[in-house]
Amino acid sequence: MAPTDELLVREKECALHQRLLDRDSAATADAASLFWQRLVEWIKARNRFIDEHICCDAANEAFLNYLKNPASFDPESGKSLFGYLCMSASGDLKNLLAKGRRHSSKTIPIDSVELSPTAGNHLGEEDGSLRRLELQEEAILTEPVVNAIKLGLPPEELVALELYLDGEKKTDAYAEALELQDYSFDEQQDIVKRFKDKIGNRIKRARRDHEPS
Amino acid sequence: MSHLEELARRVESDPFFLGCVLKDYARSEKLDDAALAAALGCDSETLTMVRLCRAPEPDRFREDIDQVVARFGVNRGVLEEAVRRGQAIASMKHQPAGATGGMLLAARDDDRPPEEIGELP
Repeated sequence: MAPTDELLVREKECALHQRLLDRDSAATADAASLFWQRLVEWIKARNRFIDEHICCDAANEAFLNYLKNPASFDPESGKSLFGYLCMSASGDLKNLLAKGRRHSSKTIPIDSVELSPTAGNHLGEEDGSLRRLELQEEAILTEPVVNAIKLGLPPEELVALELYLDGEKKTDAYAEALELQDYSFDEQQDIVKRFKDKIGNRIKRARRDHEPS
Repeated sequence: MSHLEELARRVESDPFFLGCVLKDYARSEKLDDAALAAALGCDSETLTMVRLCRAPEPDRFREDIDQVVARFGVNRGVLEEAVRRGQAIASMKHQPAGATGGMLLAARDDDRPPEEIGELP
């Protein structure tokens, strides 16, 4: 976004924020028109592995909280209003997921009991889907960020990147994707580590460049 | 359904928003969305926006109605009537259980069956 455009957006956001502080009855509708769809799309894109209804609930909670208590946003913080809403929605999403995890941990799934070869043996184990959710949360990335990370990567590294985004930890899996079969295991470990560091740095850079402040 | 319509549906149960009182009013008048929009003199997109407005508060009722009318050009008389009716329905809904029980008790003061009461003088 050009600096002038950004300034205009900030001005528009500030004016709307002020109307909300002044309890203008129509301001909530105008805020919904300006932010709601963007906020929902942003949070869904950033959490593309998470159920979109949960994403919408989080956006809903953050947005309504702001409308009811607009003073919770401080324009002097340097953050844009949209950035603030995104941050709140992300926080609410984490809370909703944590609440879901607490609920799930108290529930014994019926199929776990039925499929357990020796009843009870598997019930104390970590639920795979929950672990996957955690990995997904750690790897929450928007489409533009992922595109920026992919930029210029050779085909074998693109395959390895998918493993990385899926939370894969095993060196073997990366070695196969990166076609390192001719290297010793120690060399493979070293190359895989360098690849992961490289991707980690790309993620940091891409997030800095492509996510709202 | 658009994102905004979805949000407007979500807030229909929240008295903070006009959508909540409009829902009660529409139900009391047996109006569907199209009829409610027609009564307010607006299209369905504008009705969605009106639903997302903040509900007027008693201490600034006129000012709040003015802002919605000025912004969305809806029929003032119908909006005022809708808000007053919707808020009255909401307050009846939220009346304490004891108060409702009292009214029912008053209506059933005489516990004898009708045949025992006999004709009124």
